[in-house]
Amino acid sequence: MSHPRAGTNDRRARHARRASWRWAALVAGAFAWAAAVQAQPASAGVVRGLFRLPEYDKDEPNRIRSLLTGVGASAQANGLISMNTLRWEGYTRDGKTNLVILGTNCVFDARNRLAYSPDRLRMESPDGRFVVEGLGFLWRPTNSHLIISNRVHTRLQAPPSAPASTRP
Amino acid sequence: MKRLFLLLLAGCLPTLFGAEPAPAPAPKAEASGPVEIYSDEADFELQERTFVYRGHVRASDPQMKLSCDLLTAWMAATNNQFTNIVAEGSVVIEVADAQGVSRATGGRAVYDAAANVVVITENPVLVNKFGTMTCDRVILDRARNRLHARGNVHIIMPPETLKQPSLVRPEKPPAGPAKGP
Repeated sequence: MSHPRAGTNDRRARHARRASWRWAALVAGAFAWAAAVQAQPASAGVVRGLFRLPEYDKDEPNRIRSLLTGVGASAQANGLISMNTLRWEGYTRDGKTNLVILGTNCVFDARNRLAYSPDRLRMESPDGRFVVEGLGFLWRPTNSHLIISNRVHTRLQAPPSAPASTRP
Repeated sequence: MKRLFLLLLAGCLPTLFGAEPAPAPAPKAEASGPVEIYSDEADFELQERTFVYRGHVRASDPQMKLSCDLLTAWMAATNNQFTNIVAEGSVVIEVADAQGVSRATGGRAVYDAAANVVVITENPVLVNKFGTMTCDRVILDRARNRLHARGNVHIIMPPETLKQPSLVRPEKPPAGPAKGP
């Protein structure tokens, strides 16, 4: 007949062995994960293809205010997202597009929520009567602030005049 | 002398600065062409619909050309058209009409699209082929093709301009009764 305290000691020993195995497995897993992460080139990132960032109204969470999309997006090591092309659309309260911004070779800073590019930018109204073009820009979608650095050209076409009255 | 000056001013001002004496208030000038603005850089607050252009700003529409250092424009929310434009710093406005090119300079010009009026302040100077005028404020009424000068108006006309008969009397004499043979 074994002493009851001896059984307790055995259980404690088994428990200690299991805990040490778990700890060792956890440490080994962490090292393996770290090794895998370090094995990836830092600047390669993951090509996601299409990047989408909708912005909704604070007061009406179901109403979309704008949509930022990027084609050829790739995540950079420093948290930036580079895009071959950028498209931003602003919407009216009834959901119609009221402004479109197009850019190429853009970088989106998700932390500060801004996009910039040294390349060309084009901003236009859906009817094409208001067009702005320039070279090099910085765009803050959150407050709709756009800075164009060089060679800005704005073209504003008057709306078509009302049709003549057909009254006899 | 004073009487002569007043006569000159009253009779010649519309012709002098390219503003024809419109017989009746005309409707708003039909500007079918586009407004174009060029600048070195720009800063747009799209929520407030405010557009700021900086550096070698050049703007044009079918009626006139403008250049300045800084141009701020506000756009209507309904039709994407500018409602007000303020030009500041070395403002130059050129208007071409049948009389030739009139050139106005000043430190500041404000355009009100609803009234279709440009007000030039800060030492405005107007120059055209008839002479030079300075004053405190120039009001260019584009809708009625009229020009108003307010405050300390000073006109300099070259002597040869005064000899032009069109300045002191109509170019075409009023038709008199036909004389018989």
